[in-house]
Amino acid sequence: MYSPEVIQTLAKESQEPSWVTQLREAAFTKHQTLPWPHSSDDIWRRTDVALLDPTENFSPAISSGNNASFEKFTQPLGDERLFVRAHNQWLTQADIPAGKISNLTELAQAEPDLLKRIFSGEGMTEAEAKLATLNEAFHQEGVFIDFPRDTVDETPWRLVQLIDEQPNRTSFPMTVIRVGTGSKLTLIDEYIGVSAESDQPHLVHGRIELILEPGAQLHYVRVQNLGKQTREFLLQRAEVPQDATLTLANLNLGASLSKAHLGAELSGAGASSKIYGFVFGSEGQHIDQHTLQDHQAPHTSSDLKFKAALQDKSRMIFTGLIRIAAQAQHTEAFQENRNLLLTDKARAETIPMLEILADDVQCKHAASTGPVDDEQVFYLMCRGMSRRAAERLVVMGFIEEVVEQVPFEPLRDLLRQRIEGELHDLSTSPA
Amino acid sequence: MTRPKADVNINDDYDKLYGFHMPERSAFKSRPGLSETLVREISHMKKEPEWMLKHRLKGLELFDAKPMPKWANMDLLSLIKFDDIYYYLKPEGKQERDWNDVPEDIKETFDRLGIPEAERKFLAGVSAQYESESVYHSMEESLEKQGVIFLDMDSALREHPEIVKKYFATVIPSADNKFSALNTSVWSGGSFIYVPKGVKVEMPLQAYFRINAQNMGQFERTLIIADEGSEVTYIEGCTAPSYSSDSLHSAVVELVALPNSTIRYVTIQNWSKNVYNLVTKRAVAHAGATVQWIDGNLGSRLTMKYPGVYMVGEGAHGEVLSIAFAGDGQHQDAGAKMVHAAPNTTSRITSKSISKGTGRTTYRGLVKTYPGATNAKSQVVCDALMLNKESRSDTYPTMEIDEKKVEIGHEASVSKIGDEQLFYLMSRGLSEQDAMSMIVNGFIEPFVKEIPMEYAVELNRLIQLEMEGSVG
Amino acid sequence: MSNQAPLLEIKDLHVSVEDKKILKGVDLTINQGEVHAIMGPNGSGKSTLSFCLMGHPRYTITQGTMLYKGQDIQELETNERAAAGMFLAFQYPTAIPGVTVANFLRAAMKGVRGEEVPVREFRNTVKQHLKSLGIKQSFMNRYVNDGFSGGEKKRIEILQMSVLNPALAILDETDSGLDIDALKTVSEGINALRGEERGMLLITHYQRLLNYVSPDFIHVMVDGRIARSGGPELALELESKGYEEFRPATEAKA
Repeated sequence: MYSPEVIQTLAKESQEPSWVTQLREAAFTKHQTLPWPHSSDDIWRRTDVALLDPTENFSPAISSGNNASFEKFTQPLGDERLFVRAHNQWLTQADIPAGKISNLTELAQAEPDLLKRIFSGEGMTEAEAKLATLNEAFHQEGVFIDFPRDTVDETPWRLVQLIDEQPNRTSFPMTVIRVGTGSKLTLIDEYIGVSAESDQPHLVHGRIELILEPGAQLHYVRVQNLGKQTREFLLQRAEVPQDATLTLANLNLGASLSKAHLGAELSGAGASSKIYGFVFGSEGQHIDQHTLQDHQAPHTSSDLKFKAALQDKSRMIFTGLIRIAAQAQHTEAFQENRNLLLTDKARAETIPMLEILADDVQCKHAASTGPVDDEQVFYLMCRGMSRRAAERLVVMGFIEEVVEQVPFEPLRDLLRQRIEGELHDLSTSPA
Repeated sequence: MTRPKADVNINDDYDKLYGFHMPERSAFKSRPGLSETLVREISHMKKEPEWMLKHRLKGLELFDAKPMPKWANMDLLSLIKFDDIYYYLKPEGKQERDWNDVPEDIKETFDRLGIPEAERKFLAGVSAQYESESVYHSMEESLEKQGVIFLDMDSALREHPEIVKKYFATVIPSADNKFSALNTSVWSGGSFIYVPKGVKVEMPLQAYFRINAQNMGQFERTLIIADEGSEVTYIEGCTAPSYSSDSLHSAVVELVALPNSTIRYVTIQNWSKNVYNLVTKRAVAHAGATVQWIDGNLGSRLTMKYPGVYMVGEGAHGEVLSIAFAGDGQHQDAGAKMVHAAPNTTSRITSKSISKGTGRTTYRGLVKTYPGATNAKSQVVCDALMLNKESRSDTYPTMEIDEKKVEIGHEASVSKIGDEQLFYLMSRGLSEQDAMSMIVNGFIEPFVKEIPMEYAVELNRLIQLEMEGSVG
Repeated sequence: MSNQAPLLEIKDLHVSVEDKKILKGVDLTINQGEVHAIMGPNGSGKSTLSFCLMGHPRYTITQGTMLYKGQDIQELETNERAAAGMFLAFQYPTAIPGVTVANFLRAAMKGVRGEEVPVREFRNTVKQHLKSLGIKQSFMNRYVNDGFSGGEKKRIEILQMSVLNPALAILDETDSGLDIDALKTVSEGINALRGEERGMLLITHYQRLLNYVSPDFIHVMVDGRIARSGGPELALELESKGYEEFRPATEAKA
C-alpha cells in the first residue's frame, strides 16, 4: 500500500522542493533494504514489530475535511500560547513575540542543510533506521519551530497535534524544534488522538528532533494521549551541545501500543539533561520505552527518572541505556526506573543498561518493581484515612514526582484528574 | 586532578605461578575437531549405557544447529577455532586414591598448585582432573559411612546410573544454549555428589581442574544433589598453562537442592589468558532450600557465565556473590539468573567487578518472577571499579516481573578510585600504591568476607595487596 | 635539619582552585611547642590552607613557599608529608567502605613509621587510646567513616592523631558538629597531645573550641589572607565584634 506513487502524491500536496521528494524516495529505498528488528535484540524482544508495520495492511491517512470535532481543542487551558494543528493545517495559532512556527516545507526552503542532516540517519541503529525511514519517506504532518538566539519566553507554548485516527491508516507526524544560543523555551507537545468509532487500528509513526544550540535551554514535555486502538512508534532525538540544558518529560496516557525511543546526545562540555517519563497503563496497554543517555563529551551530566503505575493487564517495558564514550571524562549519569504494579495481571520488565568506556565518571542506576507500600498505607490509615483513600493517595503521590515536571499548572491539574478518574480502587482487586 | 601514578597489580605473576606446563603424555588423544565418530568413540571408550550416547548425539546435533548468542562479544567469540580443538584427551595412568600413585608430572603439577597440602589442612574430599579425566580422588571415610557419594562423573555413571539418569540434564537441558549442547556431546570428568537426607558435610569438598595440553577442550560435567535437610560446600579451582594458542573450557554444572537443603558452590576461576571459558551453571532450589553461588573470575580471555537459581518451592533462597577482574585483553562477561517460581522466595545478587588496562567487565543478569510467586523479594547490587582510562564496564540487568506482590530492587554504580579517598589514605602515610590497593581491597571486601578463609587468603594473594599480618 | 628552623613556615602563599584564587598571600610561622588557631568566616580559605599543607591535588600553589622543619614540602607526596610528621584532622573525613578501622590504622602506622608495627604493640597502643577517648573496641571492625555519626568521625580523627603521634597537627573544624560532651572529650584528646615537641594549628569558625583548648596565638583569616594576629584575647574580641570588623583592614592592606 506504500509505494513511490504515494510519495509523488505527498510531494504534490505539500509543494515541497524536488530535493525533499528525492530524500523521501531515498529513505523509502533504504527502508526496503534494511531488515526488520529481530527479537534477539534486547530492545525489540518484548514488542512485536509486525504490529508497527504499515506497509502491508495500512493506507496513507487522508484529510477527512471534517474539522468540527476538533473545535473543543482550540480553547486554551490558561494563559499558554496555544497552537492547534490537524491535517497539516493550523486551527489556532497564538501570537508569539519571538520565534517562528511553520511547517516542514518552509523548513526545507529556509534551512535545507538542517533538514538534510535530520534525514541523514546518523547515530541511529539499523533497527531504528528501518522504522524512521518510513516517516522520512511519508511524513505529512510536519511542524518546524524555530526559536531564535538570546530570546526568553517564560510563557509556555502548547502545541496540540490532533491525530485523526482513521482505521487502517497511518499518520506520519514530524516535529523539528530548534532553540538558539542563550534562549529559553518551554514547550508542551500534546498528541491527541481523535478517535474514529472503530475497532480497527490506526498507526502513528512519529519523529521528533530537538536541536539545542550552545547554551540553549529547552523544557520539552510530550503528552501521548492517543486513542485505544492506536499503535505508535516514536523516534525522538535531542542534541544537547556545550552548556545547553534540556529538561524532558514523556507522559504516556493512551494508545494500545507505544514503542518510543527517546535519546539525548550530550555532545559538548557542560551539557546537561534531565529526562522524566511517566506511564499510566490500563486495560491491555503495552508501553515500551527505550531511552538513551549518550555522553559524548566531558563534563556532561544526565539524570533520568521513569515511573510507571500499571493496572488491569497493562504492560510496561523499560530499556534504558547510559552510554559514556571514552572521551567523556568527568561525567555524571544517573538513571532510575520505578514501577508500581496495581493489579495481579499487570507486568513490568526493566533493563537498565550501562556501557561505560571512561573511568573518571559517576554513574548509577536503580530500578525497582513492587506493589503499593503497606507501610505507607498503614501510616495514612493511622491518620484516619480509609484503606481506599490511603491507597489512592499513595498512587497519586507516586506519579506526582513526574507530573510536577509539567511546567503548566492547568495541564498538571488535567493530568491528575484524568489519572485519578481512571484509577481503579485497589482494595476491590484480589489481594 | 592528577591521575594516580601507582598501579594495582592483580594476577601479574600468573605465568610464574600457574602458567607452567608439563610434557604431554596421553594415553589417548582424539584428532582435533568435532564429529559424530568422535562422540561415539568417547562414549564407547567410557563403556557408557546407550541412553547416554543418545544424549551425546542429540547434544551434537543441537550444537551444530544453534547459532552463537547474538548479544555476546563476537569479536572474541568468533576467534574460537572449533576445528583445531582436541575434544578428548585421556592422560596416562588411572584414577588414584593416593597422590604417590599419580604419575610424576601430574603429581608435580598439583603439588605446585598446593592441592595435596590444602587437602591435608581443610578439605573433606578432593578430586583432581587433568585434561579430560580425573586422576586423583579421595574422600574422608566418615563421610563415606554416612552415605555421601563424591565421585568423578564417569565413575558415578558406572556405579550409580539410576541417580545420574534421574537428574542428568534435567536442570540444564542440552538445548539450553550452544555451549550446553557442546558439553553434552563431549563431556568427560567433572564431579558427582550426593548428600543423603539430613547429612551435613562440614568441611568442603573440592575439585581442581587443570588443562595442560595446547588447544585443549575441557568439558567437565558436574551434578550435585543435596537430599532433604542436608548441607554441602563444594569448591572448584582451575588454572592452565599460558600458551599462545587458545583452549576452550565449557562445563555444565547442575545442582539439585531438595527441600530444606543447602548447597554452597564456590568457584575461583583463574584460567590463563588463552582460555575461553563458556560455562552453564544452574540450580533448582526446592521448598526451603538455599543455593549460594560464590563466583570469582580472575582468569581466561573471555568468560561467559551466569549462574542461576530456579526457586521452585516455597521459601527457597538463591544467592550469587561474584567478583570479576579483567586485565589487559580480558573480557569477563558474568552475571546471575534468579527465577522466582514459588511464593516467599528470596534472592540476592551482589556483583563486584574491576577492570584494568584494556580489560572489560560486563554484568548480565536476569531476575524473573512468575505469576503466583507472591512475596518474592530480590535485591541486586552491581558495583564496578575502573582503574584506567582504557577500561570498560557494562551492566545489562533484566527484571521481568509478572506478579504484583513482590519487591524487586536493583542498584548499580560505576566508579574509579576516588581522589578524595586516595588523598585521605595518603595523608595518613600510605604510599599511593598501598592506598590504591587498600581501596581495591575494600571494594571486594563483601565478596572476600563470604568465601572460606583459605580461599580468601588465595584471593588476597592474587590481588597482591600485601596486607599480611594486618589486624582485622 | 636545623634546630633553629621553625616547625612550619609559610611565606606569601597564593593558592588557586580551577583558576579561582583562594589564598592571596598567607604568612604563618609555627614553632615547636606552640598552639596556633586560625579563625575566620566561611569561605575565607581556612580549609584550603589545611589541604594545601597536606598536598591535596585539587589545589594549585601559584606563589610562595611552605617549609616544614626547614624543608620545602611542595614536592613531597601527601604520604611523605605524613611520614615526616604532619597530620590533618579532616573537617569531613572521607568514608572508605569495606576497609576496617583496624586495617586502616595498622597500614597508617606502617606508612608513618616506615616499618611494620608488631601486632602486640599495635594492639596495646590502640587499646590505650581507645580507652582515653571513650571509643568502643567494636569500632575497630567498622568500615572507615562509613555510616559514622559526625561525632564518631571526629573522635576517630583524634584517635588517629593520638596513634600516629605527629610533630605538627592541623585540626580543621574539629569542633563542628559536636555536642558538648563530645567536644570535651575531643578537647581532652587535643590537650593531651600538647607538648614541647609538637606544634598545632587549630582551624575553627567559632570561638567554642578555644574555651577548652587555649591557643598561644590567634590569627584571623579573611578573604584569603591573615588579616590580624594576636594573643588569646583576640578570640574574645572576635566573639563580640564578629568578622565584619576585620574586612576593611584587609581591603586597606590590598
